[in-house]
Formats: sequence, C-alpha cells, structure tokens
Amino acid sequence: MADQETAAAANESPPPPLPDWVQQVVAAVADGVTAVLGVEGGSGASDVPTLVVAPQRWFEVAAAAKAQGFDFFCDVAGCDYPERPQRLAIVAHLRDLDRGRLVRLETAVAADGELASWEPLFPGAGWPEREIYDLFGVGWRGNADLRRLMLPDDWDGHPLRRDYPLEGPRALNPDSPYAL
Amino acid sequence: MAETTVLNMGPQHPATHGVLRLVLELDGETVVHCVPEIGYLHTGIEKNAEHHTWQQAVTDTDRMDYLSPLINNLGYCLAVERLLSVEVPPRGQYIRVLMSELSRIASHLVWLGTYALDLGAMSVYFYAFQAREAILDMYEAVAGVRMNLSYIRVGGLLYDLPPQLPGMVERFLQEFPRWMHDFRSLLDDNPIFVGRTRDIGLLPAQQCRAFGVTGPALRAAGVAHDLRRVTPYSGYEHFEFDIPTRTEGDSYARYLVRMDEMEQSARIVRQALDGMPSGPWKSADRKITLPPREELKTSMESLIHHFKLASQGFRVPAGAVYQAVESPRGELGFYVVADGGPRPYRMRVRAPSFYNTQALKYVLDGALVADAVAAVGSLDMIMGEVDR
Repeated sequence: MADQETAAAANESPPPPLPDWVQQVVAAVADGVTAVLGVEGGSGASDVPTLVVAPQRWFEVAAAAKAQGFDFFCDVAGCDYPERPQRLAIVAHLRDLDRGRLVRLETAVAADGELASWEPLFPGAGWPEREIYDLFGVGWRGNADLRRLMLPDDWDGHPLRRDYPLEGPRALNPDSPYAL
Repeated sequence: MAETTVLNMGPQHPATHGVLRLVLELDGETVVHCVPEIGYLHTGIEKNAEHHTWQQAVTDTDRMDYLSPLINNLGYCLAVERLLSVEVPPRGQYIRVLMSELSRIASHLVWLGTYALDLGAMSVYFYAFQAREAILDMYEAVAGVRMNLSYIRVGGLLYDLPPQLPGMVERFLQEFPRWMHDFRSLLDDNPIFVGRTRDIGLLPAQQCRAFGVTGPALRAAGVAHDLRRVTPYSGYEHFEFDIPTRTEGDSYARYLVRMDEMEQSARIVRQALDGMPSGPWKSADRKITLPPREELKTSMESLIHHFKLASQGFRVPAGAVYQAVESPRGELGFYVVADGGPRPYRMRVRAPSFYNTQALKYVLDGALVADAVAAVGSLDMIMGEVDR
C-alpha cells in the first residue's frame, strides 16, 4: 500500500514552474519574496498574482517588479489586523499597461513599524504613503514630505486602526480640540 | 534668483470645484513650485464602511464621486460579489452597463459645463446642464433620487427598470447628437478656448505612469488603457465601442477625449437598450437579495429571509479582492477585505481623482499662474473622492 503511494507520488508531474517574470523578480532580490500566491506554481490562492514581500526588502522588490514592466503605480493601502504581531499589512498594486497585467505586493509591519518609501521609484506613491502614515501610523523612510495628509497635524491616533473608535477624538479625550 | 511670492489658491476658490488648496510659489507670473494640500473634505468613508453592513456600505460609495454614483456602486458591488461568488443575471448586468454609461455622460457633461465656465464660456454651462438634466430625470425614475442613488446593490439592483425608462433613454439618444454638435461648435474651434487649453497642463504618458494618472488624462497622452477593455466586467465584453485617444497630453486633448468618450458611451447605451434581455435582474440567491414583495404574504421561508437580510444582512466568506472599474475619471479600485462577518473588514478605495490631483505637483511646475485654472480644471477632480 505504502509502495503504491510512493509510486503514485513519483508519477505525478513536478509542480509547474513559476511564471518567468516572478522568477526574474525572485532572482533579482533573493531574500525579498517569502511567498507567491495566485499564480501557477505558487503556494496559495489569490484573486491577483501576489508577492508576499519581506519588509526590509520592500523597496528592492518593487524596483525588480518595475524592471519587469510593472511601471504603472496603481495603489498602496493599509489594513490593520490587531491580533497579529506584525499588525499593519501594507498592500500595493502595480500595473503593466502594455501587457494588461496587475500584480499585488504585500508586506506587514508592527504598530510602530517603518518601510522604505517607493517615492523615488514612483512619484505617485508620495500621497498614499502619507495617507497610511496618517491613518495607520506606518513610517516611510525616504518619503520627501512625510506629514499627515487627511487630518490636522495635531490629531491624536490613527483612525483606520481597528481599535480606534468610530466616534473619534470625543471617545478618546473629551478635551481634544476636535471633540465634537 | 528673484524673490518669490507664495500664493494660496483655495481651499475656497470657485475654480477648484470643492475644497482643494494649492500653495503656489510664484516668481512673477510663473509657478516655481506647487504643493497641493488636500483633506478638507475628509469624512472617514473607509472607516464608516467598516461599521456598516455589506449592503449598507453601498451608500458610502455614492458619496465619494457624487457625479457618477452608479459607477462607484458598481465597483464595490462587483468586489463583494466576487467574494461571495454570486452571479448577476444578464438583464441585471445590462441595466448596470446602461446606467453606468449614462452616468459617465452626465459626469462628463458637468465637467464640460464647469470647465467652459472656468474659462469664461458661460453658455456651454447652460446647454450642458440642460442635457444632464435629462439623465438626472432617468436617475429619479429608476431610484427616486437624483444623486447618491445606491441603485446598484450587491447581487443585482434595487428595482427593475421602470416601464417609462426605455422611452426616456430613446428620446435622450435622439437629442444627444444634436447637443454634442452644439457643444462642439461652441468650443472645438473657439480661438479663446483653444488658446487657453492647447499646450496647457501638459502631462505626458511617462508622468502618467509614474503618478498613477488614469482615465481621460492618460488616454489624452496616447495610452489606450481602458479597464472596460483590459479587464471587462459586468458584460462589457459584449459591447462594441472605441477607446478614444490623443497624443498631445494637454488640456485640449483631454477635452477632445472626453467629448469622444461621451459619443462612445451613447453608442454603448444604444446597444444596451436595444439588446436588453428579459428575465431576472438580480441574483436568485435568497441569502443575498431580498425576496419579491408578494412572496412575503405567502411564504414563511421568504419572510425569514427578508427578516434576516433586513435586520442583520448577510455574511461574506473571508478573503480579499481588488476590483477596478473605469470611472469617468479613471481607475476606480476597491480593495475589499472580508473576515467572514456581516460587515466589511476593510474597504480601501483607490480613487482616480486622488492620483490625478497629486500629479498637479508636476503639471503646474513652470506654468503661468493664469493657466493654473485651465490645467486644474482639465484634470476633472472630485474632492469628495480625493479626500473620502
């Protein structure tokens, strides 16, 4: 019985190789990509081809993806998972307009975490990074103008974190000038 | 270097169409440096959506780009439907396309009228708003309101098309070419309009890519990128339409692209109207969409479904999707995360105006201050969507 299983396993074709552009990105930044989702040969499902990126290599992986034709900056967003040690997930999308492709880059940092800014690669990353700094509290090394974007400069806290109350400053500090 | 002056344009300025503040550093009449400041209209829409049920959050999406509410509804609903693996029947999809394209025309008409007004052409404004009025009447006919419709719902629509709507659309399509001819004869060769827009507000393709600029501004720079064609949704693959492009990348090119787009939208509206399938217009999945009113009197099961949906809504299996649609301003993306609960865990909106506004840093550098209004207006930003 056990022999049959081994034989069946041997007959199975090897897992399909990753798409060429993923291999190129992985080759360019060896320790940057920790998982690949949503593509043939990847390790999991996703609606969009996704590279899970080591936070310390956030910039280099984006540069490698840009070199593979993903030169259209689409978006970068945050999402808070308070129960995780690296609670702030950062999710970015890049497009390759010429081939009609979309790729997602994901990473995660701790509550006081910091990432390298993509502004030198994509000037368009300036504002969304500031928005994440403002609403989630992630710092960006190399962002030329790292100030709050949506809220006043003296605002307390980061409203898009899950534990920030919907009522806003009123619930946190009744003396806040923004407590309405 | 000569001494420079800092001029605040906005946040209250008639040509910023909302509350955009531009800090312009001027050397005489030339803009040396422009810093756009936003956030004056921030209303925490993404935060609010996390506290609404999946179906209620549709109403949050209307309030961002209030000039094309239906396309915002559509992007969000498509994202949630992908998480739910729910299919909308063909009639529902056709109605969505029909209303989205009318919405695109209405949005471009507001842009046309207000942009011409910014540049001093008063009469275009009245003609454009008169034409838009016909579309607002259709909004009212389908959903009872003229703005913030929330007519497109997760799983389908709020109601079926009312019986008078095909006639209204038909009359609009009859009149529309004549109206377009009027607009074009007022502006296309108008020496003042052309003089104030040609070579003004240049945004070449390379800068569009770097800044994430999409929509008419990208197509006016020669890139034929339209999500209705690249990644068709809601049955757009069944419709014939062209993607108008120009190569100049200036304000005048953006004007021409939008004018051509309106004509293409009218083409799609015509096809949607003529090919409108009959049959159901929303998903039959009773865990998602409300049962028909008459069933409530006869079926206990329908009554239970109705009660559950109305009191607590439905749950969405855990997962995340990114769904992008082509709004009148460009790529409108919804990154929606579900945790299996009755409310969105996260609704991130990739607003096209947000990125287009950011590009003003580039567009206004070196421009004359008198051209700032022409350049800003030509990007057609909606501050409700920029600030969310």
